[in-house]
Amino acid sequence: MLDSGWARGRGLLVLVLSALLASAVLVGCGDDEDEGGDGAASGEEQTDKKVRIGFVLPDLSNPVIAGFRDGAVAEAEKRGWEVLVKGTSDAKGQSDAVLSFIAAQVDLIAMDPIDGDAMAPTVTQANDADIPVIAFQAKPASGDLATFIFPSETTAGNFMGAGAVEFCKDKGEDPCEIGIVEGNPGDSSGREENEAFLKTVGAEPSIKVVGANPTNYDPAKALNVATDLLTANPGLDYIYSWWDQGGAAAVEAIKARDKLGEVGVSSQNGDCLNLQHVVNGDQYQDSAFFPTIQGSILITTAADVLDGKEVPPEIKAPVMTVTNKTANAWLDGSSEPTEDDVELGGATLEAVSADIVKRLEQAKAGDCPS
Amino acid sequence: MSERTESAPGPASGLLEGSRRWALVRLRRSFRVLGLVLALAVIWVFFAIRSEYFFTSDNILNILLQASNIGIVAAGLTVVVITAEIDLSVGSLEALAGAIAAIVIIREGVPVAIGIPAGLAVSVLAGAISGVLTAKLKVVSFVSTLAMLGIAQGTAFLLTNGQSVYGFPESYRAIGTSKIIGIPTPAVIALGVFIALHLMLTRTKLGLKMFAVGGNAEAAAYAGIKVGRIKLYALMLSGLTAGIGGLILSSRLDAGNGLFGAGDLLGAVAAVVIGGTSLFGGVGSIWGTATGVLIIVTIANGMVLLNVPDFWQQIVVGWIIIAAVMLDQLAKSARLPGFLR
Repeated sequence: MLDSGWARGRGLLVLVLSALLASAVLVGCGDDEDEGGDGAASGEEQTDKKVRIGFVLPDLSNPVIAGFRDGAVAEAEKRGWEVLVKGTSDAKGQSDAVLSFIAAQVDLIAMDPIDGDAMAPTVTQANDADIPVIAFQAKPASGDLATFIFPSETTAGNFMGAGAVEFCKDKGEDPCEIGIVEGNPGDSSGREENEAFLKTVGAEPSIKVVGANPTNYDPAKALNVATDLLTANPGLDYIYSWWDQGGAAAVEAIKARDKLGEVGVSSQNGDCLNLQHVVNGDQYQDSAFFPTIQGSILITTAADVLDGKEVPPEIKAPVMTVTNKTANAWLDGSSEPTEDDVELGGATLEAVSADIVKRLEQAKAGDCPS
Repeated sequence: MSERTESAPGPASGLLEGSRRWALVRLRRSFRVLGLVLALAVIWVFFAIRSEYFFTSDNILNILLQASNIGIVAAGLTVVVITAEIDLSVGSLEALAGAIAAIVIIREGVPVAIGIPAGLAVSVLAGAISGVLTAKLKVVSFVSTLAMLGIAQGTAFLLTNGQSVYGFPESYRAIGTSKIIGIPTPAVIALGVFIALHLMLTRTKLGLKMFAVGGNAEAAAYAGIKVGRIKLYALMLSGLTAGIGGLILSSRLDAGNGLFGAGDLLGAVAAVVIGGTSLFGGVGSIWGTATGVLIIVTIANGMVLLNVPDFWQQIVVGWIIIAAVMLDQLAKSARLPGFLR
């Protein structure tokens, strides 16, 4: 009796567990169709085979990275293309994704490598499979690339350095002490931006860098590092973060010390929260990227590559400096962005201006995408 | 009598007396693995229907390649979990072994034949340190290996200055990139590790003792088994497999770095659990773990091909782990009939 009862119970349990598992897989796999999101079933009738782009990115929880995806997917959908997206900040995960795309015989692979050295072998493998590769945002250490699309990290670093210099001059401190919240020291684009920042502030004799610590782009670690910098250097005047989530963490650390406005912050990306801090005066400066425009540039460039057109080896994406003064002036219409505020690259001033003003309006209204 | 002592050959009643029970345990395990293989087959069929690119020879070989290093790491972890311990340092030991190999071979110009043992020796040593802390000083393995996780990763970062050391010679690259009879070399190495560990667990006294220690350490000690020594061996073995996984990974990525492999811990634990190894010790199989790894890697691969957002992958794997643990709990707590316990 007990055995047969158990047998019935076990059967039911197996059924429940199977249903659980199957629904998880099916719901997950059905998601792209339901939302028409990443393109697997965009709803467009296609008789020919779709062009398929494999796009490897760092973790998609970063709003800028998600913006790259969104811009690329939106532009691809206009063309009836499909963008297969994999976002991970693990070098092995990125390498595995490229291998999956090669096995899936995509038409082109775009990659924003978290570690340029580690991704180099996969570029060679894509080359061997005759799949063109576009480097995006960061570059693999070797391999044949169709082109490299990137906002200049050097320009972004220069913008942030200029922001720090301006803040220090206004404050009149000598020495003006700066602490740095680093990302991942292995990230070549982060290092490039950091070098440009250090070069710009290094030209100002009154500025002194008093500390720098890596965080592996973890906002929780960034909060600790910023807090530690403020603790170890009570006279700290400025915090420069390699990226916006670290910058937002620095703002929180400064707020906890009741020093908002007294300690300036620079970071880069142009995340909504950071633009909000800039508009409010809690963050001194932000170097904004234009992820959706950059994602769109990727697809138009991919079209040229697949059409066999000649493509320059490097294509710049826009990057802009936004300070409390300029942000509020653009918002109240007393001035407009000029070419002094931005490196346009492959974009137009009109498109970039419209994009940044819209983002600032959203930020001011607290209407940041969740 | 608890499920653990029933599942492991009971040392209290003598090792030889348990031979009939041992055969039953193996039969049950075979059924469990068979169930997992069936689940894997269902997942494969599902993805094959949904994506024309899934069931191609290129992609199957790709799945085997991607499963290799995490599979090797998970196999070593299985041995540790069978002894009712855990090794949280496996991902960091992967990173450390790869970093040591990179430093020794690339920076110092030492021959590959010396660089490989150097990387493995360091990871085995790290496993031995965790083992001594656990076996001799009675520090629970959760703590000793957690400490080793930090020590190993910190050391790897320190040696590499937080950056990738890259540019291995071709002979080293061949470990991760070459093929043997059309099959990726890492997959062949993984198969070798699985067979070796399976034979060790099922055909040697050491393996029998590991199950006995995990099933009931006190009873095993009364039966004359040196419990501490067995746990030390298990953690050293886990260090060795983590080292092998790390070398393969560094070869594939052509670089060593304190981060490479660090993310494998969760995947390895998930594979062990999905594979039917009880976190309470005394029950488990290498082939179950191997199938668990294939399930995880297949889902990751298939979802990339179907363009399913990343976050869904984590949710799906999470549900699978819950399902596997529920089955394990049920098997432990219920008065189950026959061989399905």
